[in-house]
Amino acid sequence: MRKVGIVGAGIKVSAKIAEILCQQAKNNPYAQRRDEVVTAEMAMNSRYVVYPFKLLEMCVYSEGAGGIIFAAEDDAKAICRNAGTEPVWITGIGASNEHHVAGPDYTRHKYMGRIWSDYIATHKAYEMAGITDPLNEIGVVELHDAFIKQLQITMGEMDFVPIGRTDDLIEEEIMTPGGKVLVNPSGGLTFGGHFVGGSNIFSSWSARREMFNRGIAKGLVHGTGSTVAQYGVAMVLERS
Amino acid sequence: MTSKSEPRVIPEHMNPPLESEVLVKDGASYLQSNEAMFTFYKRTKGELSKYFLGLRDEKKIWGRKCSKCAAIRVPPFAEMCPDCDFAEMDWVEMPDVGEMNSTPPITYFAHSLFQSWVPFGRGRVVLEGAETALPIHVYTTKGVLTPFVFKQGTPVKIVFRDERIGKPTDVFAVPLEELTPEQRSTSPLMESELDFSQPVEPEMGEATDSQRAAFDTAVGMLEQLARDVERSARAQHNLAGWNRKIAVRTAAGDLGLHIDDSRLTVTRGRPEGPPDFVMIAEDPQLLVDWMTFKEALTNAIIAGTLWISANQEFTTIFKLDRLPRSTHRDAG
Repeated sequence: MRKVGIVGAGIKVSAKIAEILCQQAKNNPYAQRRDEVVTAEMAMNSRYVVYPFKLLEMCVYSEGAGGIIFAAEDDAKAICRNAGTEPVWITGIGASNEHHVAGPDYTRHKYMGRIWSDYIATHKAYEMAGITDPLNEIGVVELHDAFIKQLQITMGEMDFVPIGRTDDLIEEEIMTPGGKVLVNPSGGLTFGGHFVGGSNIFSSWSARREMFNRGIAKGLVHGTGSTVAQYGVAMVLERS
Repeated sequence: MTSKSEPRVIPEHMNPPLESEVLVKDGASYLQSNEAMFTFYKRTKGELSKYFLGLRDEKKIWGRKCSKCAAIRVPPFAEMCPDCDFAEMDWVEMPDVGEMNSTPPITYFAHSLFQSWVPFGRGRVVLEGAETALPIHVYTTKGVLTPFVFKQGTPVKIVFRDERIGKPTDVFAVPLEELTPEQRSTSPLMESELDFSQPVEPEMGEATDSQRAAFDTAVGMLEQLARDVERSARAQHNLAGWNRKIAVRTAAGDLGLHIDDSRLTVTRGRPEGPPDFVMIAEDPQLLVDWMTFKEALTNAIIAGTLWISANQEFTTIFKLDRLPRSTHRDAG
C-alpha cells in the first residue's frame, strides 16, 4: 500500500521549526502553550487536520487582547520619559494586497506557492528603512505563522532565505538557536496563541521586548490575513 | 428544536426544550421562554446570476472573456477586465475539462455545514482556455479520497450533481482517467452517470508471523471493545442511529464489524452478504494501535495505511475512532 513517507522535502524542517518555536515560547509569560512540550518527532507524528497540515504544525486559535501606543516622535519621547522607558521607532512600513483568484500565471493571479503580498509589503518597508540585506541587518523577526509552512514561505518572501530553499532555515541553521536571526521568540502564533485580529500586536510587543532584552538594533514585524494570505503588512522597528 | 432521534452536534444541555417559566421580581411575575435564534437571510447572486443559473438550470459553466485581451476568467468574478482599463467582458461557455492548478488540500474534519461532504479536496481547476482556476470540490470514484489521487496538473472533468440549487457545490471534479470514453465525451456529465461501485482495492502481501499474531490480538480486543460499548453511554451515543455492516480485511484474516444503532458486534471471518463498505488494513497491528490510543483510524486513511471502499463512510470511521476513548472514559 502507498504510504505518506515524505510529503514534501520540508516535512522534517517544519517539524523542527515547531520544536524551536515551542522552546522559545517558554520565554514568553503570555504564551498560551508555554507549558506544552512539542518535539520535532511529535510534530511529525501528529495527525493531519487538513492534509497536508498537521495538528502540531499549526497555530492555536485563541482569544486575547493587546495594545500598542503609536505616537509622533516628540509625543513618543514625552510618553517614554514619563513612563521611564524607551521607544522603538517605526522606520519602515509596507502593506499590500494581492490577487485572491488562483491561476497558473503568477504575474496576473494568485500562485499558491507564493505569498506576493508578503514580498511586496516587506520590500516596501525595507526600502523605507534603507535595508538592503535583511539577513545581516535584522536581528529579530516576529511573523505571522498561522501554519509552520506559511512561516517558511514568508521567510522566503522576506529575503531571509531564497524562495525554493526555505529548508535552509534549519539546514543552514539560520533560525536555530544561536542562528543569524531570531524568528518568533514569542513562540509565534503557533505557541503564543492566535487571537485573530490582534495577534500581530502581540508580535510587535515581542519584537520590541527582544530588541531591548537582547540589545538588537533592528527588528521586523509581519502580519497577514484573508483567504490564501492575500493581505500582507510589514514594519521595520529600530532602537534609537 | 430537533427531534430526539436525530444526531446532535450541539450538546443536550445547550439545546433546551421549548418551554417557559415564570420569573418573579419585585412582586411582579414575568413570563420567560426559551427561544431559538436563527440567522437566515436571502441574497441574490446579482450580476453573477448567469453563472449560478448556468450551474443550476443549464448545466453549463460560464466564464467571462475580455473583449480586448481575450483572457477568460472562470469563475467570472469581474464584469470588466481589470487588466485592460475595464474593457467589457462577454459571457462564454466553458469546456468541462481542465487540469488541477495546484495539489489540493483535503478537508477530513469539517464543521457541521460541510460534514456531509467529507472528505473532499479543495481543488482549483483551470478549465481549458481559462486563465484562472475554479475553486471546486474534487472527489475520486475509486474509494476514499486520499492525498495520492490529485496533484498539480491532474486532468479532471466537471460533474454536475443530480440535485442542484445554484451553489458552487452543484458541481465537483473527478480525475479524467477514472472515466470511460463515453463518460469523457458526455457533456454535461451527471453524478448519477458515474460508477462509484467499482473501487480499486489496494493489494496486500502475504501475512507475516507478527501480523498473524496482531490479528488474533486485534480480534480479541475488538470483542472486548464491543462488550465495553454495552456499558458505555458515551460509546452508545457515538453509534446512535447508525447502522453499518463493515467487512474488515487484513493480510492475516478477515472479520466483520456490525454497527446496529448504539451496538457494536464483531464476527470472525468475512461477514455474510454484501457489506456496506470494506475496510482494508494490510497490517492488523493498526487495529491494535487504534484501540490502544497509538493511532487514529482517520489518520491512517490519510496516511494510506487504512483504506475504505466508500468516501462518505469516512463518517463511520470517525465514529469508530471515538469508541476506545468513550469506553475508556466511561470505565473511569
